[in-house]
Amino acid sequence: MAPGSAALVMFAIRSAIKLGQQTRLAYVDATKRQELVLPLPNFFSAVDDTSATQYFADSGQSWVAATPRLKDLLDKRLTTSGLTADEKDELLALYAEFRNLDEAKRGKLKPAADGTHLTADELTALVTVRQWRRGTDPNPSVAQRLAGAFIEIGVDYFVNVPGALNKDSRQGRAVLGFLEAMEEINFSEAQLRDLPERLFVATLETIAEHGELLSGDPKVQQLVKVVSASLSADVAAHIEKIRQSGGGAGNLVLENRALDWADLVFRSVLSSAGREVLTDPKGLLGIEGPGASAAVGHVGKAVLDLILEHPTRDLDKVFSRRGLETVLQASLTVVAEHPELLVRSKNEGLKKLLAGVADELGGYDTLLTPDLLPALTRLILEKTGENIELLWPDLADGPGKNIPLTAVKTTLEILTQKPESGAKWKPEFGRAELVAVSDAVLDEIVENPQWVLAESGKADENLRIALEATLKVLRAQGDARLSRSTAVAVLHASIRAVTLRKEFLDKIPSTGQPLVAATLDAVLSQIFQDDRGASSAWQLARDAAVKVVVQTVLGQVAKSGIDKKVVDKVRAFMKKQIARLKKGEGFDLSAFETQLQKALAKA
Amino acid sequence: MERNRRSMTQSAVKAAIALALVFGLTTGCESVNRLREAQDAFSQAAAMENSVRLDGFRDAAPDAGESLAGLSSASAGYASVLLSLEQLDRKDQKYLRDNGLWGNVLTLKALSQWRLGNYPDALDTASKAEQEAADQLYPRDRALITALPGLIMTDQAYANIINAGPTQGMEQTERTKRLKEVEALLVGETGAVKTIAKARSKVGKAHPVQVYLIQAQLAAHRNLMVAYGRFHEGRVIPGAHPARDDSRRLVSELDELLRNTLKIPQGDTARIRKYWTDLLGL
Repeated sequence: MAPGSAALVMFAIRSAIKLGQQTRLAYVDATKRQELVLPLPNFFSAVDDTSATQYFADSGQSWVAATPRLKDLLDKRLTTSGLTADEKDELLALYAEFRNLDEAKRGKLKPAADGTHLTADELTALVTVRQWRRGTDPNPSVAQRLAGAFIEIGVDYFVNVPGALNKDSRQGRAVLGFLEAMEEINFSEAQLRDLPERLFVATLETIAEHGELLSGDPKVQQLVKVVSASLSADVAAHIEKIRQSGGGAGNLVLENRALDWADLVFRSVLSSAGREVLTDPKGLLGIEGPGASAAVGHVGKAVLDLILEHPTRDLDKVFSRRGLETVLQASLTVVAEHPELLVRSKNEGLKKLLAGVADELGGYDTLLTPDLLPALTRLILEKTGENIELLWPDLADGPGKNIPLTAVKTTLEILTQKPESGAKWKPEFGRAELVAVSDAVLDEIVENPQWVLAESGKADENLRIALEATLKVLRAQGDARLSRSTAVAVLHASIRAVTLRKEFLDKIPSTGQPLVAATLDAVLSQIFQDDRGASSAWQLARDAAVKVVVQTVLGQVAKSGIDKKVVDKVRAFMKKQIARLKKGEGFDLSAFETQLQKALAKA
Repeated sequence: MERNRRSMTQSAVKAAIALALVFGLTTGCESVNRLREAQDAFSQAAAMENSVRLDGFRDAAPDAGESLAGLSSASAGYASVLLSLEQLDRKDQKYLRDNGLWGNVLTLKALSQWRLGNYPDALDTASKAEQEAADQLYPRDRALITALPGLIMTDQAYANIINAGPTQGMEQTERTKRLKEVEALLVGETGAVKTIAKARSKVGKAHPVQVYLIQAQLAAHRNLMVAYGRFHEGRVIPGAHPARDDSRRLVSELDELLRNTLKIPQGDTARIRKYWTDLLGL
């Protein structure tokens, strides 16, 4: 045989077998769905004097009184002799006439009253019944079976026939990766609709848009293969589920939504993972271990599932293309650095965490705080990755015990509360501030693991106390001069103080106010005095000054120790400072710090 | 030389395709063919029977006797279906089961047994279908298997009315007894109309089998009307009897299904509606 002819013969055999198998299956499907004419049970099928009598006893009663002959016939029917054949015909003629008149009166005289009857052919057509209602047959159509087989044959041809595709060209490698993934899919069975074509176009477009993917590196081929296969399988499962829903009626809108998101996720994964895969293939492609062989595929699947399986959250609106890429990028980074996130949870960890974040925090993503959810998801993923053992001790149990998620939820709960009517400082926090405080909170948690460990089970409660008390002071003491970014800095300083010294959370018995809040109150009440024209106000109420004073005071107090007496010392010290500034002295931070240390050190 | 090689390769490819196609097409096709033939025979018999029922009696008295030739031809058709299905050997049965066709087989068998008046066997086969092939009972067949007892009860009520013969000389107590029996068969708590309603609830409201099942319910109501005509003193179903309202509701449902869901042309739906309202005196 000519060179390559053995491969060609093998290809021909495989193709013919595939076609033959699909043809046989199509025949089986056709038998399942074969229409049947169904016989009606035995019944008295001709209109007779019983029908007429019943009519004149019910809705046609008025005709009996108005038509003596009709009454005679009906009366005679009840006698033992009954009606003669002619009388029955007469009764039926009256029945037909009066019924038509009644129908005409009711405006229901339809074309059928023109004297034509239901024919046997019409009845047969009525009782010829398909197995499935139109559009709900779960078996692939003959066209789909054979078209599927042809696609499989085409893929087989490109992959196996030498020279059909230039495997050494840069685009060729990526296309080959796509074709290899498609080779594993049974097109005639899987419910993929036009997804393969869309993924093919997406592959070419994404490669064209991202230069790094055009390097010709075989890892790109592997990336395309893994992601195509994983998303195709996931979408097929989703479509199958959708088709089983609604009593088998399915839902085309949901199918299209699944396809659209799969397309978007595929493009985002390719573009986000490209650089990562080229620099660290082990993490995402798991070249060294089969357990992690499809890490990148699992990430794509987890994000797609997050969107498709949470319809009530209306995540379509929450996740823009950019938001999706934010989440994907963070997920890929975390998974590449911490494959145990997938391994320890049987590939469910990421999915559970993403779902948990959407469930717990999705409600905070509003018109006033757009793109909040993707940003928070990124934060939670990144911070979790920094110390998985500590921050997500029961990885396999779900996101409930993910400490960053719980902390962010608590933070949002407090910061999004409406200010009370008597508050002096009323601005509400926007997306940037919410993300900044969440970031600060998570930073402190990551940097001070002792806080989580020592205060086992209470870390979240402590966070709540600190944030609530601090915000209360800000609302009570701040005024229009206090910017939101300064408020964020004060909140951060407060959290840091609490993580450094837990006594800040102790409460003053007489007021119930935590010491951290009392300290802040001592500082801010002096800074935001009413005399706005005073020199002290000009110097201290500046954003930068407020931040630095609060940070310095809390930092020094954290070093010296805290109790009610210390708070009193801070208040007295701040009063003196303000008095000096009012006299015209300038504000010097290093002098401020030195004097504060001395004041705190006094017995 | 090169040309010879190419030609040989082409021949080898063609032969491979032919062999594989023949192999793929013929494997297991005999048993499926037999089922297909049985389906066709059943449909022909049912069409014949429905035709006799509708055209054969249009102008005849209800108890004047049936068109025996047409009915015996239909019966022969059902018998041939049964014979064909009973000849399936173990290998055929396995192939049909493996390919998800066993529910089709048992449904066809149960329906044929019903039409041949072999009610106990029909019910046995239906029960077997639910137990052995529950996963292979697709929507239409599942509904038919559930409805089968109701269809049988409608036949039994019909036979009860026909077999009573002339009622002029019949004792009143005997008439009342027969009417009660027929009424229980047709509209009792476990009667035909309710059993068929249960079957209807197992398929979507827009499934075409609903058209058949609603008409089967109307057929049961029609038999009830004739039973009243024969056995009841007033010769009609009293206006307050729930069966009258139920008949009206069923006709409306049928009309709605045909017009709005199945999009049957208005003239055709009007003829179907008229047939049932005329028949039931609605």
